[in-house]
Amino acid sequence: MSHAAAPRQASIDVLRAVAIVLMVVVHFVENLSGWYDGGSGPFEGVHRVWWLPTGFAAPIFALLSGMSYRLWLGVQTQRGLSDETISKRTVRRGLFLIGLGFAFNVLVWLPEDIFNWDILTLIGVGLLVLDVARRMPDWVVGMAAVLIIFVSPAMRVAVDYTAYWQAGYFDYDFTLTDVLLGWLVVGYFPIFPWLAFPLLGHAFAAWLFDGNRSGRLRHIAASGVAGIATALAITATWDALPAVLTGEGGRGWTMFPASTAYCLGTAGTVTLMVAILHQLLDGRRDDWGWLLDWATPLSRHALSMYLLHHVVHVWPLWVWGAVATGETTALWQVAMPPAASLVLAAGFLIGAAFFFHCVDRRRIPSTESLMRWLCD
Amino acid sequence: MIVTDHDEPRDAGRIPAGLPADASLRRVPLACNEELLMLIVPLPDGNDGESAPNPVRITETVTAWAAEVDPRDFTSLPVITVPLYGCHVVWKPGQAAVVGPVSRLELLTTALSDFASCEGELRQLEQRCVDLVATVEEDAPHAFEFEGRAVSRRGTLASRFREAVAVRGRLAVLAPAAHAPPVHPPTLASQLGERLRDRTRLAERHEFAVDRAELAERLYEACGQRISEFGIAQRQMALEWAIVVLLVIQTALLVVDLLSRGAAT
Amino acid sequence: MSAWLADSSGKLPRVAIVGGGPGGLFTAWHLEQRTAVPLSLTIFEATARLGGKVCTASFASADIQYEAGAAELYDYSPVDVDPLRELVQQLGLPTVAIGGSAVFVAGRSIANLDDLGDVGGASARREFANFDIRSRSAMTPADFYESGSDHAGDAVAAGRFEPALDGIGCGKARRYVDVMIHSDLATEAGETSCGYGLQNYLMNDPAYMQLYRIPGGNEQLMQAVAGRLAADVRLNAAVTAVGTGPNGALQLQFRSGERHLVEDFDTVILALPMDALKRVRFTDTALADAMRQHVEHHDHPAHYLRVSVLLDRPVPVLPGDDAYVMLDAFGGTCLYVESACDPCATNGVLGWLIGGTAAVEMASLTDDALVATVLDSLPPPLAICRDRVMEARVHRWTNAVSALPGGWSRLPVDRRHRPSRAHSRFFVVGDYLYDSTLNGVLDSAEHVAGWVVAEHASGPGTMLMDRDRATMEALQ
Repeated sequence: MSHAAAPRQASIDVLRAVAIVLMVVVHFVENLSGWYDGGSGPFEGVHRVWWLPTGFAAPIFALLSGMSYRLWLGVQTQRGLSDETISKRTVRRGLFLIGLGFAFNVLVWLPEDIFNWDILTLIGVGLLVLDVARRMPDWVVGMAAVLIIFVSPAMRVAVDYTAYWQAGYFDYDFTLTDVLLGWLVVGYFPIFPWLAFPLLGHAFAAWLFDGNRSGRLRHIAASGVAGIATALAITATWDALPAVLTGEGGRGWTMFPASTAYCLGTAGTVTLMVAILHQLLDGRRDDWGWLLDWATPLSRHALSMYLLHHVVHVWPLWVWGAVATGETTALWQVAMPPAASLVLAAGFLIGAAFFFHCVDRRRIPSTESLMRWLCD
Repeated sequence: MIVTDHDEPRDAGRIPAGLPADASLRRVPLACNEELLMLIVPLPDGNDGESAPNPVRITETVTAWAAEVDPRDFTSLPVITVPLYGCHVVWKPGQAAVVGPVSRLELLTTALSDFASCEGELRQLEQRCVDLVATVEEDAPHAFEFEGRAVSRRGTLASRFREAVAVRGRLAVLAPAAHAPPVHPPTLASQLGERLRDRTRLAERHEFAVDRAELAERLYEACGQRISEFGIAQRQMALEWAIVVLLVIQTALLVVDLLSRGAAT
Repeated sequence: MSAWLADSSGKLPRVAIVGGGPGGLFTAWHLEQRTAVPLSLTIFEATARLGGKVCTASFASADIQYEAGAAELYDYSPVDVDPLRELVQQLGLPTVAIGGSAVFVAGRSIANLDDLGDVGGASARREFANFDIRSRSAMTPADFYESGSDHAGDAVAAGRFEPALDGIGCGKARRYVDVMIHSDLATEAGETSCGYGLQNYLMNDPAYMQLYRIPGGNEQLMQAVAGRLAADVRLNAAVTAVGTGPNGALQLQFRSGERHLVEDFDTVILALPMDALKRVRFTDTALADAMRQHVEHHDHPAHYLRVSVLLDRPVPVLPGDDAYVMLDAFGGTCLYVESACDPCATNGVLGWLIGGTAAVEMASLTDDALVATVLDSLPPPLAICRDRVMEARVHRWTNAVSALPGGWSRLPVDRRHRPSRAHSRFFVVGDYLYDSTLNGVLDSAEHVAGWVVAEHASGPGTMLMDRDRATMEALQ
């Protein structure tokens, strides 16, 4: 879902490609086979450990969107664009993504799902906020992100988060209050706490890609480790913590709602991975040509991938269900065993990689180019 | 100049043919951490050079010795010749020749060493000035307005300021020697020093170097001020933004609280 | 229009400058530069050329110039503002610094203290160094610069120069100093003051003064000034008498060709050398008395002889790029290598400046005898020039300068320039009033021009400055 262009950082490309793989796998398996981590305790059972990485896809996307924005800002400034122009482009891109998110909810899911507040709307809102945050000192942005993570549980307690979730899905009424609360706290990707990821990515990118590389790399890695350690500490001491800190959810590590431990753990892990990949890959593209040949097209077309993989596996499911049973959603989550959906996911990924390779080579318009054409 | 594989560096350490037998070579360490190769050709005392054995040929020989250029030495400067009454001095950076009565040689070599030290130091400072001025255009915008993206250059700008001040300081130390007024009544040593200073345009070069160093010093001093102002502004701005962030989050909490109450009723 | 210009006659103020030498031209220049009202300015020059002692001539056998008069100009700018230097710059004339370090005594060059030590031993070196210290202690560069002004110290000028020279205990050192300054003094040490003698010694110190010349000839300065004047210049017009006319105006009698003419002027400025000044008749008794006293006070003649020779090839370069050397011949002579500053010279030009008693004695010799005599004085580095002479010229400047500028006791500057209080519009200008230099005559001209302009601006008969000065003198 990146909107940023050059300078391409191999670390970001690879990490975003990893997120795409995780996203495709989790969505194929969930939607086609109904197999996902819906249990009630941290790390219960072997399958949970196996499934755990799929929870990193959204944090990776969100965090990398902040980083990519920072790099994009650098390019625009180098081109001599005025601050006003940069702001206009940022706002237009943010609104484009928000609009696309609404359209996606309606077209892929159902009209009543329009205010689900999915990842696209989160990143769109994130861009609008980053247009302000880019004027702030980086440590203030980081502080804002941490504050957002830590006040979110209190907000969830205040709004009775569990009342909005039925059987693991966000269920809201078409009232202004529910729509606003969904955007703020209780949706799939509400800005509390998910806005913390783009903000953290923006702040870390300043450390990582500006100035002295080696010294700052250590700081970023240390921040990542600190995030993971805090997450583990919170998880371990979960029962002893007051509700205002843990919020509604009942477990130490949950993605819906995004618990404090989850936020800190995923943010820390992603940050650490960025630091490691930056050390390994950036500036050495030639050494990792094979990997980047595969990862770069996926990364470059992450937004298209997000839209396409849903269309590819959800729309056939609806059609198949309607044809086979007369009920559109009849086959949802029961269409096939997990192994089969995994195979389909893998096939899709391989095909998509080749497809976007061709798109790049032949300069075929994509969602990303449409966004640039509309917004820049 | 085309250099072929067959060219051999000239052996400047050899006394040229045709000079009196008591001619000698001396390597004189200079205060500027360079070395001066000095060819000393004594003439018999008690004459003005006119009756010395082939004085014209001797001066021509030593001038040719100094003027001979190492084919691999592209930095050689023109040779300066200073005829004096009864003496003759040839100089270029790193190399010199003195022809004169035995009783005058010590005076001449001392004066020559003093001058060579001064000139050598000025030459080194000139090069440092050239290096400094080369960065001026690049850094000039920071003297007017320091932007956040230039923060990473703060160390570089500070080191260049230190370099400019150091060069300026060395030039100030060198100034009395470079601008020394003519001595009256003159001595042989003062005459040699003055004439060498005149011919190498030492005073003018020193002034130019001072101008350059001052330019760099002014620029980097202004950069320092801009950086300082920027730092202060950043700290103030950070505090303001922190307050804004806290207020926004507090407002968000308030809004969420209000909305949740509305939803409950 | 001022009251002066609104005079009943309706004519412009008439100013006569007698003498087309440096004094006359500089006075006219300053008058035209400073006056705020139009003046009718007339310059009377007895000869066919302007410029006086600043004379650049050419040889007959080749179109090559030489200095027949003043060989160099003095640059006081190391000490303070130098009006002459500024004028040269203002006129756009190029300059080149000249210098000379060697004094040849008995064929041996003395270019520095070490040479003097070799020639005369440690005592000569010590005695000379002591003399130098005494001289510089007696006259600082600032004293040197202000030597012609009213506030110059009198102590320095007191007494004759000879005792100061006699204070040099070593004969060789004494001889060295004698030779060094004799041609500049143009007189003998016993005939001038200690102050003037010291000036001529200290002028060798670059801290006091530096020398320069104008490439292409120093006379260009005079030509440049004359070319910019709007004054009526009358050549071959020798003023024979000055008096007072029936209407109170100053009256000049002058010869123009065969005619004797009389003309009235409101202001008359005599810018003549002393020998020419003595030839002017003053018909007004009071003015005659005043001028007799003026001449008696300032008449201390000094003499020059210039011998210039053209050589068939360039002169060997002197060590240190010297432009001249001092010779012990003829009591101390300066030998200029005039072609030294021209790297493209096809011929050499040597010029002797013989001064003092020797100049008077040798002036009676024929030109050929003079040339032969001076060629015998060539120092060893230039001896080979003797056989290369193509042409020689002699210029005799006897009584041309002052051996004691300002006289034994210096008069106030105003009194120097206006000898008769009864004749408030009669002035004199000359180098003999200051220091026998072009700089001095420029100062003199500037002073008189300023005075004349001020008085003309204040109207006829208004002598405020004059009355003020008279009052001050009476009080003193």
